[in-house]
Amino acid sequence: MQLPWTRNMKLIPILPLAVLALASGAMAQTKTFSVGASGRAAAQVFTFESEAELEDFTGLTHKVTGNLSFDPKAKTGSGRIVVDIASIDTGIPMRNDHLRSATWFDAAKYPTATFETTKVAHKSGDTYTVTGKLTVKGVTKTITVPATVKYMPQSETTQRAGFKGDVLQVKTSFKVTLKDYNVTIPAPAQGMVGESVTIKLTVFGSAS
Amino acid sequence: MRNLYRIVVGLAVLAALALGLGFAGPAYYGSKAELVQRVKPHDEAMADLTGEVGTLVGPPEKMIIADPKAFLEGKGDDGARLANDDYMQSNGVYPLQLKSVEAVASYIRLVSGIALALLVAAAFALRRKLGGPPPVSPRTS
Repeated sequence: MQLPWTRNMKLIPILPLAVLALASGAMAQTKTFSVGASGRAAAQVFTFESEAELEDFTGLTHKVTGNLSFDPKAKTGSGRIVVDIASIDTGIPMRNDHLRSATWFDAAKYPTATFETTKVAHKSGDTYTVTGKLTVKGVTKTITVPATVKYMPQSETTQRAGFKGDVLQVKTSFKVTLKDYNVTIPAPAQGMVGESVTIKLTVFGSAS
Repeated sequence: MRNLYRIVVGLAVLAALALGLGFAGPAYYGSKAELVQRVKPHDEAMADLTGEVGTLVGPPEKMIIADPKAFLEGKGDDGARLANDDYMQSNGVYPLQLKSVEAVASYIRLVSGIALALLVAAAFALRRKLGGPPPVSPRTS
C-alpha cells in the first residue's frame, strides 16, 4: 500500500518544469510596443489643459516617445513614456516662450517629463488603474491614474494607419498641481494659468 | 476751476459709457458665442482605426470663431460644434473665448463703476465751489 503523500512525491520532480512551462507560456504573451516610431503625429498626443479666471488654454505636443509592454491575456503590462517639454505648443509663441522659461518648466534644464509605471491593475473591459512615477522639472512623485488600454492585433486597418504590427492604444487623463513639481505661476500670469492642469495622453504603440 | 469741472464731467461721461459697454459687450458676444470643441482631424485611415474624427484639443468651450470655414461637419457627444484646430492655426484664426470677454467686462464694470461714482462726487463738489450750475458751453450772446 502506498501512502497518499508518497504518491504525490512522484509529481514533485516534474512540478518545477510545469511551472516553468506555464511561466514561459505566459511570458510569450507579453508583447512590446514602441511609441513614437510610426512617424504619425496623431499616434502620440500629449496635452495639458489650463483653466483659469481670464482664459483657458491647451498646450499640445506630438513629441512623445517610449516603450510599452502588454500581455493581452493576463491584462497587465508596464511602460515608460517621455514627453518633450520644449515642443509644447499653446498656440501663442510668447506664451510658449514663457512656459519654457526657468520660472515655469525650465525646458533648457529639464527638457523632458517622464512617466514610468510601477503597477498596472486591470479594472474591467479596457480600463486599468496605473501607478507610476511622474517626473516633471526634476521632481518625481508617485501617482495613480486611470487609463484605457486597447490591444489591436495586426489587421488591414492597423496597416493602413501606418503601423507595421500589432497596436496598443493607451489613453489617460489626470490632474496635476503645478506647485507640486516646483512650477510656480508668476504674478503677471495670475488668473491666466490654472494652479492645476489636466494632463491628457493618447499614444499608439507599434509592436516591435 | 471751471475747466477742471468740465474735465471731470467729461470723464464721468466716458466712465458711464465704459460701464454701459461693460454690460452690453458680454450680452452681444454671448449671443454670438457657441459651444465649440477644437479638434485636430485624423485622416481616413487613422479615423477608421480609432473610430474618432480626430484628437480633441482641450474641453468644449463657449467661444466665437469668426471664420465659418474653421468648422467641421457634425457635432461632438455634448452637442459642441467641431472646429478644425489645424485650419485655425495655419490661417491665424484665434477663437475668442466668451470666458475672457466676461472676465474683461467684469473688470471694466468694476473700474468704470468706481470711477463714475468718484467723478460724479467730484463734479458735485466742484459745482458747489463754483456756486451753482456753471455753463457747460460758453455763451455766444
